[in-house]
Amino acid sequence: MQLILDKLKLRYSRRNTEIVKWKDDTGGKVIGCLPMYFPEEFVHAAGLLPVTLFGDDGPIAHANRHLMTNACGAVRGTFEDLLLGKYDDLDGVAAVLICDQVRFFFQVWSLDHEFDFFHQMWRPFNIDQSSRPFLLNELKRLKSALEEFTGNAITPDKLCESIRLFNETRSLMRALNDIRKTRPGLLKASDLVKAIAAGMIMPKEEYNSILKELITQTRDSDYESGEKPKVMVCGHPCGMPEEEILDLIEEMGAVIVGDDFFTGSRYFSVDVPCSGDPVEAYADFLLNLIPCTTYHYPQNWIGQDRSISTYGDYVADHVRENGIQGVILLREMYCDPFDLEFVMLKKKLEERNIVHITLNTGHEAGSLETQRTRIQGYLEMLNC
Amino acid sequence: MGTQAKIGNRLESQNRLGKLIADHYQEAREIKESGRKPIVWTTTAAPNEILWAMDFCVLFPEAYAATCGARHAAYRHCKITEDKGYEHHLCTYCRNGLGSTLADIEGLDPFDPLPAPDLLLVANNSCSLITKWWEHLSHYWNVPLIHIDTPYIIPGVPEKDVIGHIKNQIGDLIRFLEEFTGKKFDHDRLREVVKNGSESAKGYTDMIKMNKHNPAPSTYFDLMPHNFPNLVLRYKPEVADHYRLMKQEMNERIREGIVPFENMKYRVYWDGIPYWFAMRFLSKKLQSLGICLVTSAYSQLFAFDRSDPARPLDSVAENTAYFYLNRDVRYKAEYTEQLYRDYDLEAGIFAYAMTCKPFSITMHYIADYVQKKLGVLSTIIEGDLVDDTFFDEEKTGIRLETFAEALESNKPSVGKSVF
Repeated sequence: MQLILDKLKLRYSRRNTEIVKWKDDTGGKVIGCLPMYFPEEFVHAAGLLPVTLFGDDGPIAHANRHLMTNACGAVRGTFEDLLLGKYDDLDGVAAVLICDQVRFFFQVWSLDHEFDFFHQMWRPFNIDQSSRPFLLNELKRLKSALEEFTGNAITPDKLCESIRLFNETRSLMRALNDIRKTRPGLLKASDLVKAIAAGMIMPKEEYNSILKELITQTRDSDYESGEKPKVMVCGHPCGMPEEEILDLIEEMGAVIVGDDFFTGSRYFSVDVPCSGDPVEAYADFLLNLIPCTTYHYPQNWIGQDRSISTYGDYVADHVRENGIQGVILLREMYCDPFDLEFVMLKKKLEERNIVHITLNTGHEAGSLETQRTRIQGYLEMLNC
Repeated sequence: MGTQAKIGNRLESQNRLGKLIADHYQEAREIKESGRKPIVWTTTAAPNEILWAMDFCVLFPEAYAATCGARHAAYRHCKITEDKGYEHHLCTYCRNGLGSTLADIEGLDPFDPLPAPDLLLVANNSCSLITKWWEHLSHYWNVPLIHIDTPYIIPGVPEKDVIGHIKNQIGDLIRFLEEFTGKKFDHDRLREVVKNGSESAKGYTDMIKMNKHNPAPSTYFDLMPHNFPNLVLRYKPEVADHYRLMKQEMNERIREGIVPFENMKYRVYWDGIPYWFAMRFLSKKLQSLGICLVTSAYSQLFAFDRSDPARPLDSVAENTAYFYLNRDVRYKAEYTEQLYRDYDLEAGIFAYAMTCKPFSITMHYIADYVQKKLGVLSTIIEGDLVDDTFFDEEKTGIRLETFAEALESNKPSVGKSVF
């Protein structure tokens, strides 16, 4: 089991060289997709390999000469990789303009670094049916752009086939995630996020078979879960959460049994419907994802029975439904949507009597020792 | 540039502007007291003509933030939000607005607070953070919020789809407002509001263009506060008169050879939102260096130049869609280049606002673009919209002095990098 997890982690850490290898092996083309929500199935149906672009979490040198230092880690990390030439082997890049930083910074890419394929997509910020016609047009525009780039028609059958493949990936990821709920502690959270992220950079066909084997081996494991406080970890919306922090939480005696990471539940919680027109089905999928801090849920704000945070409701419900004792909020520095939602999220957790703690993360988060002390205090609170 | 000119450092139109602003806020306070109209808080480029046509009292927290910044009251409002868990790096227009709201609700004596809203309207064409800001206002004031999603004008997106999407939402907004007020929407009144707006917009644009004259009859910082009438009051017919009189005054200055200050040496572009708390310092410093700020793409944010009474709904949707901040960086870079050509500009000051990412993220690129394209000199300074903790007066002063020295030593060549 650990061998497979280690292999997946290695594939993730070598993600840029993996691209070159895949291209050499197959002669295919690769499209880099910035987090989050990009319709990878369309890319796959056009005969391309979609890979998610995770920025480098090392020191930022080059990007700081072009960006304000209060740009978020994900934006600065990917820009750093771009400037270091790590994306030179990509044939194209694409993004849903999920927030202001991605929206404004991605354009600079388009002008400074030429790619054969460059696609910006708008997922309307009103998550309700009023957005459906525009969203549908955006998906059709993506389909046409990919068809033009590859010369391959994306037929409904091909798209359905890709959707089924990606649904299978999501389903396997959910199965893996369920194991940590039923057998807490068997899978380290830091292994799981990397195992999920590996699926975002590898061909799904290969990844799915590896994941099936991994699930079989975890079922065969004789690991026995002890009694530990169960926590959910939220935040760090579109990047890779730091391995050290996740490990620290679990080493200190808690077990992470839920998250809302992009490299976690946010990626695999919902499937694309497989019936009817696949483009229409995809629009429905994008309107039915789990709540996100960057988007607006109009129905909540018009009526009298408003919740202070739709996202907070989701987190609190998840905690209650899964017998989780507390929430740890990972706050990536300079993520504006999360930082604003954070204020309401905290209120919501207080309202629902959910014990929580906040840890700052990101490139300038401070020492691990400080985090250790905070986690220790928090876990003592949970054990009371 | 000649230096034997007469000096007229204050436009007479400032007095008229002061009265327009004072009357507006006085009227809003009276409306709140009497309750004769519902009050709505809105954003700069939301489809606000719909609100005026429905006879709402319409208030702009972003304009209020600028006032608080200029009056050095924003810091206290921002501090209140920090005490409530809002991060220091978040947009200070937003923190000022939320801080003032919290102070008002909790009886903490905010600076000249806006009368409380009955309804909120927001469009995400300036940024997406503003939607979250308005959600928080909706929570604190416990009033409904309508959000107009405004897709970014990016290459490849058919603009008719964007306009159509906004128009559909305007239709939903009208239906909501009819129910909210119990009144039928009056399309004739909308036409009249848009007509007034189109005349105001034309007057505003004509007024801004007066600085094409060399020497400029006023500095850009003198013209900038006159954004207010076209933003907040353009539904009123008298606003076009304000701009007509202003243009007249500037024409008289040109005829009589009056310039805003002595020893004007350089015609310079300003990019970004002004540092409202530092206007006096910056004006004095720039004047001492002979730098005359002539124009800025910032004024385009308040142009609303699509207003057309012959097609009111479409033009309202277009003003929302084509809001300057909703344009992509290539458009902005080319637009800025054209300003340099039209206004005969020889250099540019690009003002990072540390808490405004939409303005600042692409700024370096635009500065670099015009510098390479035109061989002009650009410099970047650092500060913020309304929070002076992000601003270092001494450091900025030195940077501007270095910039002036570089201008003096003449002439930067094409391809030099921004400093």
